[in-house]
Amino acid sequence: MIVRILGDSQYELESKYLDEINELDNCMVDHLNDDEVDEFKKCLSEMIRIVRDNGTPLDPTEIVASDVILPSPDITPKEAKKLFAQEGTISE
Amino acid sequence: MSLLNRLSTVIKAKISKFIDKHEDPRETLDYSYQKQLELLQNVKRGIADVVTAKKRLELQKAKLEANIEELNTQARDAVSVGRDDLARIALERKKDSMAQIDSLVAQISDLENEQAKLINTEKRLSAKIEAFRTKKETIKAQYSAAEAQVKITEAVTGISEEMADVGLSVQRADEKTEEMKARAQALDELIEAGTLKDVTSDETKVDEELRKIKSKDEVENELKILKEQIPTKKRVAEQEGETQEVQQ
Repeated sequence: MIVRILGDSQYELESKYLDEINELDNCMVDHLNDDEVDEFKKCLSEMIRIVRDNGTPLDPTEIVASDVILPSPDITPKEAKKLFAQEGTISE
Repeated sequence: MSLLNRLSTVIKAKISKFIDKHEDPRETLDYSYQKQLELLQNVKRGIADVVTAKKRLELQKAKLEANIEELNTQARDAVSVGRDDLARIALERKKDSMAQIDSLVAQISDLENEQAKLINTEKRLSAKIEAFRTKKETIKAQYSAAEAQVKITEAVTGISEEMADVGLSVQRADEKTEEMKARAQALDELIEAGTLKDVTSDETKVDEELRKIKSKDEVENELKILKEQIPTKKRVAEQEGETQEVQQ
């Protein structure tokens, strides 16, 4: 599958990592709701690490949509909350 | 809802809005290409803004460093004339300035990171735009409007995701630059208002008093020299008396 890390790059990653990524995704949401910033960041960086360590960066000239989109490695809990609140985090 | 799903939904909403804009899919290709070039300009502008903000902070840092030199000199001058109170004020200000420098160093390195990220983004986007341009021409040459639909949707979807990503990076960099500008502005105002007073230019208490002490010393010195050069009437009379004694 193709995974994009926002602000970074796209990676080709084996699908077997999807479960782990989903778990970490839930972990991020849980800690975001409880305002546990350090834990939130821990889940996030683990998620990014899995993709970077096990994935192969895509050639930048390849134009292809991603199956999974990960937040930027330095997204703040505040920005993540904004995303849920549907404020314009993504510009045109 | 999960964070990743939320992220995908937001980005996909942007993409579909983009694709549905034109009836002839081939127009979508040209429109998208146009938007890509605009976005690339935005990235370049973003880099220039970050560099400008960084330069401003570096300038402030240099100013504060010069202040510290000056404050050191003043503290020493104050101690040498026995004015510990003034020396203390100078040293306190020096400490304030040093704390500000530390925070400036962190902000400058933050902006450096932002700059590096945007330069990478620019490279990646340039490569993608060039690839898209080639693809666009190929699709236009080889397929009729109806046939091209799938290919176009594919290409435009892929590039639109990239554009949403880049747009987000530029927006975040903009926010950071604005924040730094505001802080730099606040620091300028602080320096001006005297909280972190530039002692030399603002004629503050320490500087003024030291100047007074110094000028008092200079006056005394000059007076001494004058006294030596110009004989007073009393001394003239004394000298004349001495001469008479010698003549007798």
